[in-house]
Formats: sequence, C-alpha cells, structure tokens
Amino acid sequence: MKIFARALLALLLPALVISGYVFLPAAQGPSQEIAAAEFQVSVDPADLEIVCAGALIEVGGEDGTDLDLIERVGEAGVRAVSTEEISVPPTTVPSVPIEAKSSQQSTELLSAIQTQAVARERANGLAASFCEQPITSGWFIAGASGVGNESILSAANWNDVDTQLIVELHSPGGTVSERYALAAGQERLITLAPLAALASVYAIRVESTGPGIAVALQNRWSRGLTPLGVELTSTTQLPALQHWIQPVSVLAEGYQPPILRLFSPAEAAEVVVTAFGSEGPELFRTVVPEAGFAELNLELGAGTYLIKVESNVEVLAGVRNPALDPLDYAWIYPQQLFTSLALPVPSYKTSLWLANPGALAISLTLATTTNDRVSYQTLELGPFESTGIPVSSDSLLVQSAGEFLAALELLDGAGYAVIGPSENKNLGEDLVVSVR
Amino acid sequence: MSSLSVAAIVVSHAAGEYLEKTLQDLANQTHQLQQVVVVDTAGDEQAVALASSHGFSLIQPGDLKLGAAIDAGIMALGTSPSWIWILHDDSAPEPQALERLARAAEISPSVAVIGPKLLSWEKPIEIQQMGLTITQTGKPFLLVSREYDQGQHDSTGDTLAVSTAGMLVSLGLWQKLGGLNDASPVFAQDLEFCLKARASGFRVIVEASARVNHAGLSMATKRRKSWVGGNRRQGLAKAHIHLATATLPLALVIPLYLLLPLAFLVSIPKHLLAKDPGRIYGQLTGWLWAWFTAPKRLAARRQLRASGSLSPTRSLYASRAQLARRRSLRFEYETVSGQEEAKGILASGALWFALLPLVASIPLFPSGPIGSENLRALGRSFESIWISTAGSLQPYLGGVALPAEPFNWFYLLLALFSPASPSLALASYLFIAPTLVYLSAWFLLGTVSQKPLVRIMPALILALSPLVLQLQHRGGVVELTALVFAMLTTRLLVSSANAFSPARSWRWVALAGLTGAVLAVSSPFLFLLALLGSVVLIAMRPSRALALVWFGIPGLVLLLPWLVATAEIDIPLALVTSSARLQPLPPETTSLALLGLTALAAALAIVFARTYLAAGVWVLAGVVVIGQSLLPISGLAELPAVLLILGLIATADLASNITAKVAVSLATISALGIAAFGGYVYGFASQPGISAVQDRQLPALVVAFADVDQMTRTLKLEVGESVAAELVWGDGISQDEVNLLYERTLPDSQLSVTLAQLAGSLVAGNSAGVAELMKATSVDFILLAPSTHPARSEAEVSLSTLALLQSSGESEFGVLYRLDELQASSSDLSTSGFVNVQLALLAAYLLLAIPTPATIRGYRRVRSR
Repeated sequence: MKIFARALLALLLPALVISGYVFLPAAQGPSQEIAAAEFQVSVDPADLEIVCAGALIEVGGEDGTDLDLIERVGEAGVRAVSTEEISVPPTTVPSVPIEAKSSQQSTELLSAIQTQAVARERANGLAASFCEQPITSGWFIAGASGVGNESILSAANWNDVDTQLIVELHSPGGTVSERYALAAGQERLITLAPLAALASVYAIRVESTGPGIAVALQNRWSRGLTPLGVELTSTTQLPALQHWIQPVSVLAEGYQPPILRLFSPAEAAEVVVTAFGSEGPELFRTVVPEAGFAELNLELGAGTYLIKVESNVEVLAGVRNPALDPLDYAWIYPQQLFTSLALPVPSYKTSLWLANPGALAISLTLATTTNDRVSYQTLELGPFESTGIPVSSDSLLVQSAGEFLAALELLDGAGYAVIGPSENKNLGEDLVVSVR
Repeated sequence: MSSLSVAAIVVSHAAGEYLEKTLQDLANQTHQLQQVVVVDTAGDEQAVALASSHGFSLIQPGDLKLGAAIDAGIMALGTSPSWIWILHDDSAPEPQALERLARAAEISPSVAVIGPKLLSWEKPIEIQQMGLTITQTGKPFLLVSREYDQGQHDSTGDTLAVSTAGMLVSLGLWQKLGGLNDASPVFAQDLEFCLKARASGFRVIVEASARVNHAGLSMATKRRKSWVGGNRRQGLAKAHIHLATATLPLALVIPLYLLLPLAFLVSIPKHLLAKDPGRIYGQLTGWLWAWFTAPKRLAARRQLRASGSLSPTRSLYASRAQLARRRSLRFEYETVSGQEEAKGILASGALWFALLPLVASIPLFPSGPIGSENLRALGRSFESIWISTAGSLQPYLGGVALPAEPFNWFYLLLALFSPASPSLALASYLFIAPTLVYLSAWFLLGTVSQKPLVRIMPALILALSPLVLQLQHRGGVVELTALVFAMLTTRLLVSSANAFSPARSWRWVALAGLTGAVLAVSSPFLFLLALLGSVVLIAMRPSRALALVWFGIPGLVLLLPWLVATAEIDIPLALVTSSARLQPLPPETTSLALLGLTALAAALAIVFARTYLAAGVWVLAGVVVIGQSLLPISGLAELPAVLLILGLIATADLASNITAKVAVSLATISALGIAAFGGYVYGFASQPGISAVQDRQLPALVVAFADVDQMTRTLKLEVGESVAAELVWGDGISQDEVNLLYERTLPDSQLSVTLAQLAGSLVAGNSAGVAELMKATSVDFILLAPSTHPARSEAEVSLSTLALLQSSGESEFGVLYRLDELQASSSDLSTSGFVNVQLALLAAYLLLAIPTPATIRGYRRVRSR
C-alpha cells in the first residue's frame, strides 16, 4: 500500500474510533441489578399484651440477714388507660399481664404504669415503671453491685410454653452468663450479686430462648445505713448510634451531678454528648473502651436538660439522676420518639416532660382526661427544647405532627422516679415487605 | 517386445483435463494396443473430442457404474483380446507401462491380474499405491502409500489385490468372474474382484517397473458423490463393512452386524482422539448402509465364496509389521528450511516475568472464601455447584424451569481444582488472574511476533494495567475470565487457521471451542466477536473451513438454555451471563493515558508496521466502541481492557520492527516503567474491594438438613423500618445459585405475593393462615436476621408466639425457627436432560483437543507466512 494511503488510514481510522469513544454515549440499558419487589401487607396483629413488673423485691429480709430470702414487699399500684374494655387490678404483688384486643395498636389501645413508694430500713423511695410488652432479648445498663448497691432481676413467663432465660453480665472484667428455666406462668426473682462477683458496674443482657418474657431490673442504693433510693425499670434497650434522654435534672452546683453511663458491647466507641438546656447546648466527649464502660459526670448548670448521645459504634446509655428532696434517685433511659402517646397519670405529684429532638419547632396537643372530662392544651416546642408540665389528671394523650420525646417525672414526698414510655404495638398493620 | 493382445478400456467420468493427459500417454505406449475404447459415463463433449483426436473408439453408455462401464467397453471391442488394460480417466501411464505389464503377464502364466506402480499425479516422485490388501478385519489397506519412490519397494510381487486404475487383467478371467460387482462399494470393488481371482487360483501381482500417474480423484473426493457412493470416508467405511462381511467367518459376521451401533459409539472417541472427526459420520452412514443393504452384502459373500476357498489369501492380508510400519511413518515429517523457530515460554524467559503480576496481587493472597460488591461465596462443594448448574429446575416452589446462570460452568471448572472448597479456588483464581492475563497475552502476541521482548513487555503492561488490576481488586471474576479466554480463543483460532495439517487444525479448533465456551459464558458479546473472527478466518483460509466452522458449537450449546429463557423473559439479559458482573466505571486518568499511548502506537503501526493488521485492530476497536454504546445493557466492564489489548497488539507489531539496540533498550525500560507503576499503584499498594466471607451462609442446622433434603427452604427475614423477605433454598444462596432470571421474574410472580403475606403474618405473630402459606411456599425454616432495630425485637416476640414454629437457637446468622413438624422431602432436584448433551459435546471437544500422534506429527512445522 502506498505511503499516502497508509498515512490517510492512520489518520482516518483512529479519528473515527476515538471520536466514537468520546462522543458515543454509554449504553443506558437495564443492568443486572434488580430491585426487590415491595408489597404493602396488612395482617391482624397479635393481641396486645403488656406486663407490669410487680412489687419491689427485697433480698435477705428487711434487715438483710435472712440468707436465701428473696421476696416481694408491699404492693405496686397499677394504672392503665385503654380504648377497649380491659381488666386491670388496682394493685399487684407479682407481675401482672394486661391484654387488649384490636388491630389498631398503640399506647392509645393500651398503656399502663406501676408505682410503689417504699420506706424500709434498707430501701426508701419511689419506684415507678412503664408496663412493657414482653421481649425475647434486651439490655439493661444500670447493673450495680458492691457496697450499698444491689441489682435484682425479675422475669415472668406469661406464655403457654416453657422457656429458658439467659442472663449475661457484661463488666470490664468479662462476661458471666447464667441460664434459668422459666416454666409457663412462672416468675423468677434473681439477685445479681452472686453473678457480678467483684464487678461494681455491669450491663445485663437478657434473652429468652423461647417466647417473649417480661423482665424488669430493680436497683437499690444506700450509703451505710442511709438508704439513698430505689429504682425500677422494665424497659430494655438495644445498642444504638444515637440516644435521646430526658428529663435530666441538675441540682445546684455542689450537689452530686447526674452521671451518664455508657457501655459499648462490641468495640471502642467515640461518643459525643450534647446537653440541651435553657442556656444552650453543651458538648461532652468521651471514649468508651471495647466491652467497657465510661461514666461521665454531667457538670451542668442547674436546670433540666435534654441529652443527646451520638456514637460512632452502637452503645448503650443511661443517666443516673439523684434527687435531693426527697432523697432518692432515678435511672433515666433512652426514650423513643412518638407522634402520639397515651399515658395514665400516677397518683403522685407528676410532671409530663416533652422534648423536641428535631431542628424545627413542633406543635403538640395535650389532652388530659379527668373523670371522663377532657381538656386540651396546645404547646409549641422550639428546636431541642424541652418543657415540663405538671399533670394531675387520670390520663393524658399527646399528639403532634412532628416527633417528640415524652417522660413522666414523679417527684413527691415519697420519692423520685422517671417513667420513660415506649410504644405498645405488635407488628401487623401496613407492613412494607420487600421480597428478594 | 511382447506379443500379448491387449485392448485398453478407459473409463471416463467428467475429468476432462486429466483425460487428455491419460489418452495422450496411452497413445504413446510402446506396446501396441489392439484397440482403445473410451467409455464416457458422463456424456462429456470434451471426452468425445479427445477420443476422436487420438483415433480411439468412444462409447457413451450413460451414467453407469465402474463395473458396468468396463463391461460396456468390453462389449464395444471389435475383436476379443486376451487381456484388457483398465484405465481411469485420471491414470496416465508412462510409455513403457503396458509393455512391462505385458511382459510380466507373459513370464508368469498363473498371473491373471497385474497392477502397475501408481504414482502421485501432482508429485510423480511419490508412490500413491503399490498393491492393495485388507487387514484381518477386512479394512482396505494400502501396502505402500505416500512414500518417495526410491525403488525400495520394487521387489514387490504377489499381492492380494491391485487397483483397477492401470489393472491389466485376463479377459477370460474377467468374464469368468463376472467383472466388478457394482453392488459393492466403489472402494471394495477391486479388492473383491482380486479376491475372487485369488480364490479361483490365479495370482495377482504388482509390476513395479510399470508406472502410472494416478490423480486418485475418487479418493480425493473430487468426483461426484453419487458416483463414488458418498464421500471418501463413507466409501471407506462401506468398503470395510463389505469386505468384512465377505471375508470374515460367518460366525463373526452376524455379531458384527448386531454390534455395528456399539462399534459406532466406541469409535467416536477414537476418531476424535485421532483428530479425524469426519470418520464419525462415515461410520454412522456405514452402519446404516450395512443394515439396510445386508442382503446384498451376504449375496456378495456367497458369490466370493463360490469362487473358491479364501484360506490361501490370508497370508496376503496386512501383517502386524506392515500395520506398525504405517503407524511409524506417520511421525515422519518434512522439515522446512529457513523456518523461524519460536522460543517457548521457558526458553524466552517470559515465565519469570509472570512473577510480577503475582507480586502485585499480594493484597489478594487467598486465605479463604471472598466476597465483593457482586460476588458471594461459592457452594460448599463441587457437588453443590454441580447441582445448581445442572439442575433442571430452580428450587422455588415446586420448581421453576429456569436455567442456571451460564457462568456457573466456569465455577464448576474452578471447583475441579478444589472440590472440597470451591470458594478457595475462586479466591486463588482471582489472585492469579493478572498472571493469567499476562500469560494469555503473551500467547496471543505470538501471532504478531516471535521476539521475546515484543511478546513479554506488552503482556506485562496489560497484566499490570489499572484496567486489569482494578477489575481484580473489585472481584471482577467474570470480566477477567472474559479477557483471559478472549485472548486464548483468538490465538487458538489463528493457530487452527494456520495449521499445516487437518489434524492439527482440528486440535486447535477444539481447544478454541473449549476456551470459546468459557468466553461465551463470561462475555457473550466478546464470544460473538470471536464468532465473527472465525468467519473472517474461514474466508481467509477456506481449506480450514471444515474445522473452523465447529469453533462456536460448545459456546453456543452452553449458552443455548440461557438464550432461550432470556428471549422469553428479558432479551438484554442474554448478554449478562452472571450476576457477579461488575458495573462498569469510567476509566480514570492513568487508564485513559495508557489507552491514548497505545492508540498513538497503533496509529503509527498503520504506517510503519503491517498496515492490514493495524487497520484490522482499529476496525475491531471501532466495533467494540460502537458495541459499548449500543449494547442493550449498561455496559460491560471488560471492554476498556479489550481496547487496551487491541492497542497493545498493534504496538507489539510496531515494536517488532525496532532493531536498533538503543531503541530496543529505551522501549523496554519504558514498558517496564509503565508496568511497574501500574503494578505498584493499582496492585501492591491498593486496598482490595473484596473481603473475606463465610462459605456457610445459614445456621448449621439448616445446612445439615439441606444435606439430607436439597429442597430445603428458608425464609430469611430482615426486620427494620420495613420487612425484607428472602427465600433461600438448600444450604444458602451461594454465587452459583444466584439467578438473574429468577430475580427478574420474581417481582411479577404469585410467589412474591405469597412470601410477602407470609412474612407479614410471621412478624405480626398472627398464626391465621400461616400454616397454609408455609405449605404453599414450602418453607421449612424461618431465619430472623440480626438487627438493632426495635421492630426486630417485636418480630422476634411475634415469631416466638407462633405454635407451629419451634425456636432452634441463635447464631451469627440470626434467630432460627423451624417448622414444628419438619420432614425431609423425598424429592431431589433432577438434572436437566440438556446438560448431558452439553457434557457430551464438551467431552468430544476435549478428546479432539488432546494431543495425539496425529497432531504431534510434524509439530515443528509451521505454515510459512
């Protein structure tokens, strides 16, 4: 071939191919990635069942000298609110299940709390708790042993079949595990001191190998012969990257500050804590070691705060909040976000604390019912703002277009307690199921 | 001078150019012929003119067979001679041929049939034939064939038979024996006639001093097939059966006929190994022909036996020594002078450079099963991959008739190397993939140049290029396989087209077929290009067309079920044969720079190297670029690397012209620098996008149950803001069990609706209808995946309340529940019938690809370029 023809080819062919490469658009056909099909499925959820934890538990009798004695003392008052006809005992000693049947499930269908004031030699204060749905697994962060501290676990199996309860104590010294058989209808009171050995603080993981069970953790704190308070919760939590905790009340300077306890089950976590109060947000940073705890004194000005906990790995959180008058304390745990919440109001002096975790202001409607008479109140909450409203009705209903946090703070002569509610709902309605 | 009266009978059948020479040489015979009769069976005008020009008699009795044509010639003789000399239109005798034959006839009164030494028409120094015989099984056997005539066989005398080409035969004997039996196959007629002569007590000899040049048009299949009775192989097969029927004892003949189908089947691998697949068809037609014409064969046997005893003839059958000698002669070859000797991978030092891609791949050193964005672990064993590949039904519901992804065949191949842990084999494959790219590129560049550096450096640049290493680091098993096998297939196809013997061509094409099959299952688009390439090669080398046309069959057969299914479901998926394919990413700067550099060299190659090669490369690049844009799917990730390969081919051709030492050194250093940069930045120092995964994907209980019951199904639930339900079968969805077609059809199927409803009921803890839904979906286990979402805990409570489920513990896979009354199903997955066809075909190509004496023979020869 002549050199001229070659040169022409050498210009023409590359020009055509390169311009094709540059200018021809890439194929835009379907790829092999196929989206899963999504379906809206509605099924009748199971009957809504919640369980109240029962009366407080005492180990070793009133003076603590009766070895192997573990028993409930006094009675817990139970209050419930429901849109259906339900049967609720006014007081209870053992744990008690409450059931309601409807496909529209929420706290409006069924919501209950229990309260108990106790004044014993070694235990004094107010213990209040939200009555929770049974669970198959969950965590408590507030385990404590050692001088003046006692943690007791109660577990009840209100099902027709037996199950096994696995209790794991996670402390910086390691993990201790124990199994307990729970027959159908049986409840167990378990003192955790033998399991905790020398660990002063620990997180407790509970798991049922069978159906869901009701589990509650009771804490007692004393110094010498002075009881400093009792605390009860049946709300378990799961490790998460973000938690909201309120209302954290800080006493005047010089008094013991609230302590934020953090536990990271899997790996070391870097945690940022933001306290939103009337003086604006304050930041704390800490590192939680792998399978270890961090306790952070929330040195804040006097007032009530909304605490936001953010972490790079999933952690558990809880705030131990002391009260001076009366002398008592409460553990405040991470709370759920609601758009609608119904709660019975305890007979003690109570404040409803509402908080806005969002960056936009929200409007809330509070409906309180006293002897079937409903009165309404509208509230505006700015970004990260919280407010406490004294309530003395039989029940209350809070609704909002935006998400909010809610807790009942009981501060009475009998003691101090915080009830953190959670949604009462079985899955079923309007489920979105993607099939792969 | 002999006084023997001889008349020549020339049988002509449409071979004008040969007939002219034959008649000319006949006219020049030193022994006077009494008469020459040309029997033209084709009604050819040219034959009439030629006969008349020499003054020979000519008859045109019509389209007769050879025996009848000779008889017609005898009938046309004016006076009866004592001998007739039979010639074919393609057998030109030397002037003294008849004289010497006649003298031999006079010397030996017992001799009634004499044959000349038949020499090759094209190459008269080569003996084509010197007497015929048969083997103990009745197979025709040439005593001497394709040997240079150095007088080494001139002592040959008595033989079992001679060819009718140049046969001098006593007319009396001819008439007594009834001439040739036209009911016999053409290639058996002369043997049968001579056997009769022998049985009648006459001798058959070869007179070596009488020489006839013979074109052998019948053997060379240059005659009309109907006249010869099929092609050469069919003719030989028929002749074999016919002579076996005639010569074997009756006690063996009947079993022989009964066992012909078996013999046909047994002969298939033999013919494939011998690189002579054409004989398979001949064997088949021979068998059918034998069965349908058995009475004629038996009649011919009776006729032969009526001539006398065949026992004395057995001493003239081919001896073991003769058979062994024939085999050994096949290994002789003619050396070609001035041939460029290619250095192998060891001698050239190319193998040492293969270490560099291995070093660059160190971050991917295999230690266990791996996974990436689109890649899962493989099945736990060879058997499990086999089941998912060969199963006739995908195990959903009662079975959905969807073919497995074609790339599973490659996983199956990998699993052969590590049957107990295929995932490890996959990880190892990914580790060595750039090395394989290097080796296959080196192999491919052998078609461009034999200079070691010209082959090594571009191959190294390719293997350590960002385009290849990024595919490796993303887990692009499919794309890398497509690259490796595209290069191997191309080289093998070129080798097949350039092979100097049909046997070698068959072997190369079989290898190309097998590598093409892997190419087809990894990249149908590139396979299509390879098919087009084979068509181009056929056009360039028609003599190898018979072998080359078979190239695409294994690939097409492996793809066929997928193509049929995608035609019904989603046509673009025909181009995506594996869900492990990567999404293409736009080439980054270094890759573009490398492509630009090779494009520049490829442009220069048009001017300074082989223009047609470089232009071909550019045309192919254009096809790839257009294909990349027009493909009905969103791109193929290997195509930029294909462009680089094309550029490097042209670059290598350009580089092969560099002779100055300084320039060679500079080019080598530059190439090494480019390769080392790519290898370090994109290989050694790069973080792989793949990670270790488990090859067990479900709890041990499910896996153990799946070992017993292949139809085990597990509904995996992931509960969060929404519920994700996935139906998993067997011991978990491994990479070989993922199916694009299933995923494509699932959203529209009733199964999805049923699964969604079941998932909803389960997470709600609503037992109403759950038993029916589980039965409808055949779910045995429910697996609730781990999650920290609160809804997951609620779902766990709900599941735990369902009486028909039994909690079976928690593991890293989640909480497992099983049906309370779990029973292993009796049905196992059946194997698709078509898989047997696919396997048989692959086995056939494998046999054809195995090197045997037929391909080793003369392996040093290459076709001169």
